[in-house]
Amino acid sequence: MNLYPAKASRSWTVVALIIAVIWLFPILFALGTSFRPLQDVFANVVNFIPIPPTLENYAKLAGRLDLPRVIANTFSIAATVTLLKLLTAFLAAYAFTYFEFRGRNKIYFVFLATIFVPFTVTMIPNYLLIARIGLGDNILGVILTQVADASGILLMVAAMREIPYSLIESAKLDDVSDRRIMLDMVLPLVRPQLTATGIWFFVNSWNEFVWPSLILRSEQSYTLPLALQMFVSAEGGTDFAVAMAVSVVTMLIPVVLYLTFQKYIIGTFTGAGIK
Amino acid sequence: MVDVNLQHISKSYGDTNVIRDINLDIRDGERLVLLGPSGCGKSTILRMIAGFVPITSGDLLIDGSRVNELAPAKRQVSMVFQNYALYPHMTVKQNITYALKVHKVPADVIERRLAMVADFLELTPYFDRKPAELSGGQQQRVALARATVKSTSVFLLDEPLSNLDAQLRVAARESLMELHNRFKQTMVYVTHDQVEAMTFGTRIVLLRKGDIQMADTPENVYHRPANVFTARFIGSPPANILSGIRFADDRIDLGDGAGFYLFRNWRDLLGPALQGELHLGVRPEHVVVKTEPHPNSMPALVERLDNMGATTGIVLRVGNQHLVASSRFRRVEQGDRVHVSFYNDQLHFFGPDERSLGYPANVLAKKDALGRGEELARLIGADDAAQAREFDEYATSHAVGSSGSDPADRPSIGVPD
Repeated sequence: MNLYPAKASRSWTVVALIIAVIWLFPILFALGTSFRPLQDVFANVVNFIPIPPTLENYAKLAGRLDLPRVIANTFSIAATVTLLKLLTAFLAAYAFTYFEFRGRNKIYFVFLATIFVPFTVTMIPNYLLIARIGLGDNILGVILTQVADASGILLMVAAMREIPYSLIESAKLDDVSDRRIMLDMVLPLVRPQLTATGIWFFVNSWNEFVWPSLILRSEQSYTLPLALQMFVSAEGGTDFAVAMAVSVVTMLIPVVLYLTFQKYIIGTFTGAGIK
Repeated sequence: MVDVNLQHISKSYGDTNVIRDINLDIRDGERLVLLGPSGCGKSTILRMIAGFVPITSGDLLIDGSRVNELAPAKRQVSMVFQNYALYPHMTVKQNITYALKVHKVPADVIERRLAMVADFLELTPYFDRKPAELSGGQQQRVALARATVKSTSVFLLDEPLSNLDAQLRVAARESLMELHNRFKQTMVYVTHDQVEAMTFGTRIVLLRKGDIQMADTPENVYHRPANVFTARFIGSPPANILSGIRFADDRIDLGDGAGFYLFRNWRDLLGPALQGELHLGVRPEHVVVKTEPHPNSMPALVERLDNMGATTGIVLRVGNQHLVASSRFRRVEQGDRVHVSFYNDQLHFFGPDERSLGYPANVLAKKDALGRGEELARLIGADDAAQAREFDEYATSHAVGSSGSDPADRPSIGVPD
């Protein structure tokens, strides 16, 4: 049965298209501008279609920045943070889902409550801590405060609760250890949600600006968002065209990841009721 | 050889008692069915045996030793879950052999056991399929195979057929019976379906709100229910329970002048109980409906007919009571005035506490002889003549229609046709 007549569904399609264009515009703008010479950009900002396209901004960028190093920095921070967050989220969620212990629900609630603590509240204490232990200007300092994330626990708990409990009981009856249940049963069954959560963590960390900007000071430890800022408020004015080129490089990996795994991502976040 | 004993087992959640002081000896190799409506505690008992639900008080013995505190894994039981609990990411073969592999059983032993069980349950062609690619019946057989391959002696089954449609259910029950004949496990089977219980169980434990109502063979649960609840729960349509009946002048009075002569064997048995409150149970198939008055019959009105396929349910009003008769022939129509009588051997009397008041010796003899045709026929023949004489005497002294000379016109006793 079709609840929506064809006419209504067509007008919704139009609305959705308009929203998509509005959301896509900045991305297309950055992409187009990054292939235009700077003089053209200043001559006509709005018309961002690069005719003819030029690679001079990317060449300039490569000349002024150790791009492979910056990408490697960004990647190693994002990958490590993601793996650590997934590991802690998976283990914590397993405990919250399958172990019975005193105060389980209270502890879980306290964990979840940390989602609502703004970053700015913990920023200064974290900074002081990292500076004290001598990890200033070190990517380890960026990573260390991000080894666990309550939203990951929340998503993993939601995923594990979808596994019929009788599967776990059946394995317990067969004298299968928790380690084996975790690796042989739960891990394969939550893999889609784990992947989606991982991509979410990865992209967030990849795009992170404020926290790395506090810790990382020297240019060779910069990440992509920090490098971008170099060109936005550079001495001698902002080079918009190069800045757009950095933007394009920055968003390349997140966009590819999202396009590859969007099926998992949408399923996971609608499933857990987030966003 | 493994017995399971439940001794004074209770389970409570806070102040709520869900199981009250259960005593039950599950004997080696028997097929015990825990039967009851939802919320009666049948699954809780099963899960206590498995070890998933802690026991509040009492002792659970498996093979003679107390296992209350033992982890499920150490109890040497297998379980088939209602949703089968197959591992969705593993193939049929991996599902069946997973536990053995975890415990590092030698590969040749695994292969041998797998071949035996899978062959028996006809699963070999499906080894490489995932559970989602199997039909419900096949999934159920994989669950059976997985439980069997462990070669434990106690088999727990939690409503194993309830996810199957009616046709598959019969086939699945058969494979379960064959499995039992082959491997002789002690099976504990939970269901809310009395037909399943009657056909599968060698013994039925009927539960209600955490109490055992009756624990006996299917025959006894059906033919001599221990109480009103059992009589009502077993049988389809359920037994008629006539409450608020009175006894006077050798007759059971059903109100509005309707009633029937109660034979001496019953009066002798019931004695003073007849002066108190009584409940009378009669199964629909033991109600005789005829268009003509017949010995010991009462006038009745046909209120409704329920078509049940093989039989027709005739809903009747007799006196101020309603009851259902089932008949293989649809001889009457709605609104007809008819005459009904009850098979004298098939009455069930319950006291004010709704417990059975027992059965006369000659009735018990016949109930015991059920299934032994020759002896039953002899017993019925002897009683038949005696009761015809008894009713004649009564009829003469009370000036009601006698049983006459036609043998077919004798009061209804014995076993239904």
